[in-house]
Order: sequence, then C-alpha cells, then structure tokens
Amino acid sequence: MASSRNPNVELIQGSLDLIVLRALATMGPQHSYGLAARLEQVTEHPLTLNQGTLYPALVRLEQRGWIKGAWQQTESNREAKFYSITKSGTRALAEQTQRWRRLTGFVDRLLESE
Amino acid sequence: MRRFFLRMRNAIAPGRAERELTREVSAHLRMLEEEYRRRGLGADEAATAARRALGGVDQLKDYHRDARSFLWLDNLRRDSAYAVRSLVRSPGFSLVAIATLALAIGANTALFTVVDRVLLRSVPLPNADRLARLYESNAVAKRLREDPSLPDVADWRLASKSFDLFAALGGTSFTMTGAKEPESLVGMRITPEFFPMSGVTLELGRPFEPSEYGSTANAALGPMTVKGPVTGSGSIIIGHALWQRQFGGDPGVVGRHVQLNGRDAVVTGVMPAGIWLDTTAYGVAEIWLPVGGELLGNRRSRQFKTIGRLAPGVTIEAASAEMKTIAASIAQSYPKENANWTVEIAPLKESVTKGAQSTLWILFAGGACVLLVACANIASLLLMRAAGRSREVAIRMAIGAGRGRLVSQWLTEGMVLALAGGLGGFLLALWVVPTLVSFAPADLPRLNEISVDLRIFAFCLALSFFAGLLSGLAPALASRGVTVAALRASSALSSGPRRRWLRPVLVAVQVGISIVLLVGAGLMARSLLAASRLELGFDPERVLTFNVSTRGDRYQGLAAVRAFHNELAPALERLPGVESAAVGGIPLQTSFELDFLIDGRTEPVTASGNVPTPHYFRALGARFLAGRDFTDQDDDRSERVVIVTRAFAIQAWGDVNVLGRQLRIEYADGPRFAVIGVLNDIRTGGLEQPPRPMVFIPLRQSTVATLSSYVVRTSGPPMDVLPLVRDAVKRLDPDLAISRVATMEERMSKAISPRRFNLWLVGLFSVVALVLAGCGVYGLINEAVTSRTPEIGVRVALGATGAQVIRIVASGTILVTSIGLVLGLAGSAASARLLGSMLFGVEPLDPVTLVAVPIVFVVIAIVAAVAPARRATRVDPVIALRGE
Repeated sequence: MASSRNPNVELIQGSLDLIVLRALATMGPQHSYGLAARLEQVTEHPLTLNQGTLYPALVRLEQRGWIKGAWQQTESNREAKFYSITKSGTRALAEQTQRWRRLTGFVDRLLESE
Repeated sequence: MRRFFLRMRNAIAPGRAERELTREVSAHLRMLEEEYRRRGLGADEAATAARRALGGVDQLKDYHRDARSFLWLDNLRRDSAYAVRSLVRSPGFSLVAIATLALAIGANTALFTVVDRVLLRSVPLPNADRLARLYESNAVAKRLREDPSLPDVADWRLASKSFDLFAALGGTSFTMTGAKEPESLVGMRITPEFFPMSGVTLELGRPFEPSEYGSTANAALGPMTVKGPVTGSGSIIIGHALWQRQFGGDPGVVGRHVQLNGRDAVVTGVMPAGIWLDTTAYGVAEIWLPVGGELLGNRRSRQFKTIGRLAPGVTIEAASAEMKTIAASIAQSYPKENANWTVEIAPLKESVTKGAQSTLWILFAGGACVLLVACANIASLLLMRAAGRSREVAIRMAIGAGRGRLVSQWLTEGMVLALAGGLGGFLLALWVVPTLVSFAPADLPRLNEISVDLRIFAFCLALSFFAGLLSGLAPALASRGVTVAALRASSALSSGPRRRWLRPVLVAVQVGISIVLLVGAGLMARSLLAASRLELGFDPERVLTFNVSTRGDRYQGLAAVRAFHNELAPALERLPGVESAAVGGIPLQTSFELDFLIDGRTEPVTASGNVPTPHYFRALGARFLAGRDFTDQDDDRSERVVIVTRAFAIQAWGDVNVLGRQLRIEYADGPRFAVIGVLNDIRTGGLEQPPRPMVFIPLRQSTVATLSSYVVRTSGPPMDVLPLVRDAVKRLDPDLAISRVATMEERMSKAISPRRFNLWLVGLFSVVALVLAGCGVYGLINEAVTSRTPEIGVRVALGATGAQVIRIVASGTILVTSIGLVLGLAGSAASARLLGSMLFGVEPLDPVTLVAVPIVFVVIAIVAAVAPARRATRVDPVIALRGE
C-alpha cells in the first residue's frame, strides 16, 4: 500500500529478501551493519543503496518467521542485533531461489530473443 | 496471517518495536562510524558519513514502520494521539464541543431507540409480515373501519382462501372476586386461532380445549346473552402480573376457582409476562377467555379486533378483492344486519403504528436537524482553531507533512471529538430513554418494551462517525488553502482567502435549520394552545370520574342495575364535599352509538347515546341552550323524554329550537321520546374531534343500556372525596370495586399529552439549535471584529463614529443571518405539508408563527452581536495601529 511512495525499495524488494536470506545462510548470524557491508561487497557499488533500506526487509523477514533476531555482543564488545536464518527460512530460501532462477531465466530468454 | 497480526500489534502498540529499532539503528551507526574512522576520517566527518551511508534516519524509521505495521493505522494512531493532546491543551473548547455533540448525538440515539422499537420492530409475532388487520366499513352510515362481528368473521373463515387463519379478539371487563380482594379487571375474549397466530406459550397450565370455546358458561362470562340455564364454570387464563398480584405467584393456581361478576370461573393457565396482544378497547387485558364455537352472538355487535394471516404468497390487494366479494355475499344473506357493509384490510404493522408513525418521523427529523446544527457549530469552532493554528500547519508542511496527512489530521480531530461526544451521548441516551418513555403519551405502542441495546450502540457509533466526518471536513477543506507562505505573514490570524466563505456558509445553514425547527415548535405550540382552549361544552375543574362495574348475578337485567345506580348516585350526593353526582358517560371517551328515527326523515340519525341520572349535566358543568334537566319524576311511568345536543338538533331538524319534537330509537320499536332540553355541544369521542351529535335518555326510562361511569363535582380538591366514595360503594355492595379513577382535569391533560410531549421535544430541539446558531453568529461577528481591528483603528483615527464602525463589522453578519432566515423560512414552507398531520387549529403556513419566529431570531442575533460590536466601538486607534 504505502510502499508505492518508496520506489527504491520496491525495485529491489524481491531480490533484497533473497540476498539477505542467502547471506545469512552462508555466513551464519549477522547484524545489520555486517549484512550491509556484505551487500556492498556483492554489488561492488557502495552507494547503490542506503544501508537503511535493509531494515524493512529485515522486519518483513522476521515477521514471516524466516529469520530471527537476538541481541548479542560483537567481537568489539558492542551490542548489536544478530539475525540468523530459521528452518522455515532455509526452506523459503530454496523456494525463492528456484523462483528467482525461473523468473530470471524467463526474462533472459525474452530479452535474448529480441 | 501471522504477519497480519504482528503488523496489527505494531500499529496499535508500537512502543517496543520502536525502541528496539532505535537501539538497532544507533548500533548500526556506531559501527559505520568506526569503519569510517578506521578509513581515516575525523570523528565529526565519520558521524556525518555514517548518517549519509545509512540514509535519513527518520525516513528509515518510516519505511520500517511501513514494513512492520500498517502505515495508515500507525498514522491514525499518531493522529489520534496528537488530536487528543491538542484537545487536552484547550480544555474549554474541547468540553464545549464534546458537550454539544453529546447532547445532539444523545438526543438522536434516544429518539432512534424509540423509533426502532415502535416503528421498525412494531409487531413481534411470528410471520408478522403476513398478518393483517381486518375492518368492516359502511360508507353509507359513515361508520368506517370498525372491528368486525364474530358471525361475520366465522363466515369469512369458511369462505376465504386468501387467509389461512382469522383470530378475533374482543374486550370485556368485570369484577373479579374470590382471590385476594375484589378487583375490576379488563378481559380479552379470544378465538382458538389466537394461539397459533401469536405463538404464545403459556407460563403455566394449558390453552383452552376446543369444547371450551363454545361453552355457555364461557359465553355467560361476557355480555353475550345465553338462552337457558347456565351450568358449570367458565375457563380463564390469567396474566402474569395478575397471577403475582392476586394469587401471590402460586404455582398451584391452575384449577383454582374465582368469580367474575359473580359467575364461577376456573383458571386453566397463566400467560407469560410481556405478552404483546393485550390491548383491548377496555384497556390492557389481564384475563383471557375463550369465545366462538357455536355461540357467536349478534352479527351487528362489531367489536372484535380481527387479525388474519395471509396464506403464503397472497398479497394484501388480492386478499382485499376476495374479502370484498365475500362481504357482498354476506350482505345479501343478511340484508338487515350487513347491507352496505364491506371489508377493509391493512397490514398489521401499519395499523399498529398508524398514529405514531408521522409523529416519530417528524421528531426524528427534528433530532437530525439538531445534529446538523451541532456539527456545523463544531466545524465552525474547528475552523476558528484552524485559523489560529495556520502557523503550526505551515511549519508542519515545511518539515514535510503531506497535504493528505494534514487533511487526515483535521478529520481525526473532528472524529476524536465526535467519538467522545458519542460516548457521552450514549450515556445520556441510557439515562434519557426511561425518562422519555415515562413522559411519552401512553398511546405510543410498545413503549414499555423500550430499552437500549447493542443495535442502539451501533447506531450511536455510526452517528458519531458521521458527525466527526461532518465536523472535521470544513477545517480539512480549509487546510488545503494554507501554504508555507503563511509562515511569512506576521499575524497568526491571517487566513487564506480561499476558505473565508466556509464559516459564513456554516452559520447561514445553522440559522436556516434552527428557523425550521423554531417554526415547527411555534406551530406545535399554537396547536397545543388551540387544543387546550377548545370549547369543551363542560367544565373540567373539580370533577372526579370513576367506574363502578355492576355486572354479575346480583345485577341480572336492566332493572337491577338501574336500581343500583339510582341508589348510589343520590348517596354520593349526600357525601360532604360533593356538590352533585351522577352516573353517565365521561366526555372525551367514546360512548355507544344509536340510530334515531325522526318523523319526516327516511335516513336515521346516528348519535352517541348516554343514559344519565339527574344532575348529570350539573356535575359535568354542561350548559343548557333551552329546556330543563331530568328529574326523578322522569321514570317509566311518565312521558318518555330526551335531551339532545346542538349538533344533533341541527342534524336531525336543521334547527336548535327543537323543544317538544319527537324521536324514536331504531330497532327498539319503543315509544316516542320528546325533547325537553337542548345542550351546548360536548366533546365526546376525543378532544380534537368535532363534537358528535348526542342524545341523552334518563336512566329511569332507558331500555337500551346502562353506563357505569360516574361524574362527581366536588367543592374542594376532587381526590379528597375518594375515600368517602369508596366507603359509599362498599356500603351498598361490598363485592364491588371502583376503577379508572381520574379527575376530569387529568383526563384532559392526558388527552393533550401527546401534543405536549411532542411540543416539549421539538421545543427543546429548537432551543438547543437556537443557542448553537446564536453561538455561530457570535463567532462570526467576533472574528470580523478581531480580523479588522487595524482597519477599524484607521477608520476611528480618521473620524468614524461608533455607528459606522458597527455597520462595518456587522454588515457581513447581517447578510449571513438574513440569508439563513430566508433559507429557513423556505425550508419551513417546504416542510409544512409534512408537519400538517401534527397540527390542530392552525394552518401550516400560520402567519403569526412565520412572523414571530424571524423576530425571535433577529433578537437572538442582536444579543449575540452586542459584545463583539461594543468591542469594535471601543477600539483605541493608537493601540490597534501599533499592534499592526
């Protein structure tokens, strides 16, 4: 509903959820900053997105029960909320990955057939 | 699903999620800062860079809110909290606004409660939609919509295919002895169809057996003549309240014997409390008796309220057509009794609410008017606040609040006010409804069942939302006119030109609506005045009335009853404090009708009959136009005499000088009666019906009927003699009870009480509306003065006089008030036809009212304008100009 006011998030919504799930699955529990840093690594463009845009994705995933947040100490003894992927999150990741592949494959074929 | 609930929770109680987010974001920021410092930035630069990398914190929070909850709901919550805070900050305004709305919403809720029960749920019977009331009408005899007779109903039952059952209900009354103490009671005689039609399940005992419906013992309990000796007991079902009162709620009451008018009757059952079909022509029934079967009585005795149930799928029109055919064939078989009589049918619902319908809708419309005026007032007040807050609004816009959010903020503020008012209104309605019911005229059907329930709460809530929307709309619309530019303006009061038209329009509407209400109240007051000033034909002061029912074994036959009354009336006259006493009909009540034959006329003259003892007219205070009163010598040995009213004389002979003329009673085949007196007309049928022609026959000569109502004129307060009257009756017969005790003034007051009640309500509405409209006018002129103070200062400095100043500030208000007046008068004229049914003795376009009302309003407008106008004339040019 109100997300139409926020085209940036809308654009990458599906992929962002997938990336976060994937990052948590491969890297283990991460706090938001760690996730943001990882994202920047992957995209290789530090300014493609505000790190803040992560938050809606995190709350969405947490509410779906795909990830779980818990307050823990960082290596530098700071307090941070660490997110880890849940069992249903792992299942969802597999499904979402499948779907993503199908979709991108379909779009690729469409674009190539031009 | 899970996410939906989580979002709901976060929307309603965001505290925890919000705190957590703040914590998380600040941890994030600190880590970003550290990273930037590691890359070699200074502390401040690192902080800035971190913020930049994260994006706007507030935007981030908004996105977060959007994702974690429903943004609109979150906004609504924040708007409400903001509205509550800002309303609490100006308690004066809020209290006035909430009280106004509470009054208006409360009044409407209370009225809706009544309308709901009386009109919308008027017939609580199974298959109520298929039930219809049947009447017999004789256009030639001008006897319309009378209740049918039992033999006619029995014939319909055999012939009709449109109806699957007919239930006939008749009233009766008697004195019951044999329980705790003698009591005069009203009974209802019912045919077997009563039970399937009403769906009543008895509280105790059993319904009547088929054989009981035709038994002579039961027939003899009523006024039906039974040939031959009567053996056995009648069967009766008693009402719940009677069971409690006279039998102490005894669970073994079934099988007990009591005496009705001295005849034996056995209780076979107890009706449940709150039974709906209990009203008869005699009053509220507390005893039910079986009637019908073989004993149907006289075909001409039209007094059985008849309810038919239409067969499934049959329309009223089809049934009506069939019944008219059946009536025509009955009329052929019984020409003497039924010539010219036909059948009329009306849906039961309609017949129940007939009188109340228009009244209630009009009152309801009045209530709606008050609500509209109240909303206009709140809108006006909110507009005023909006003007005072245009800087605040501009600031909010400057820091990024969208127009939509501002509009919704105003709507929320109106809504919060309205809901608070609605809550107050609901409490008010809870409190008012019982009062309303106790003040209401008793002829509103089903009033005793009225209570406030969930449906009413829902209505109240809906009303509050409507009021909130209406009140919040004006400032919301106006807020569109505010721009960030308002920040530049020096005065907080300067408002955009685009919304200046709103308040005057609101005030004009208020004035218009209150004029409509005031005109309505004025017309109703004039009607009440007309009704209370009617030429009655008698003097209601210091008159006591009551009934002494004499039916029973001791009073078999007319002679015994006559003897009793001829003894009681003089005995009462001998009591101290009694000036005169007589038995006879009571004015304002319907009496029996008789047809009189006049020599030289083919058509009989129908008139109300009355059989008084001497001194009746003196007790009543009726005035003789000519002739004399009855005396004890006018008995069955002397010449037969009658006294007639003016209306009868005119109708029978076209003249009032009719002493000595003669008439006969039709069907009685009796002697001729000579007119010995002519009376001024007396209001009988009802206060507001034109006087019926009446004929009085002395009781000692009556062969047709007796009446049991007493009229006693006293020298002091009428109720003072009541104990003496009771003793006098007891001395003559200890088994008799007196009933329906009331002073004549009480009866009068009861007769005009519906009018008084309606006037009271509409009057109250119009006063509230007037006060609100007055406030509107005050607010308008006050604003004119405030916003034009600098201009006034300049003008005064240049030599303007006080009168000129007042003209400046008042001109707009006068224009608005005049427009409102014109609108209101036009509205009154348009609604006059609607009101017509409630008026009496006054035209809907009554010139007195239509002139008086605007004058009243102009006076109110002047009063409202005085204070601001004085302020305007006292503007000190030095101060005003310095303020600029």
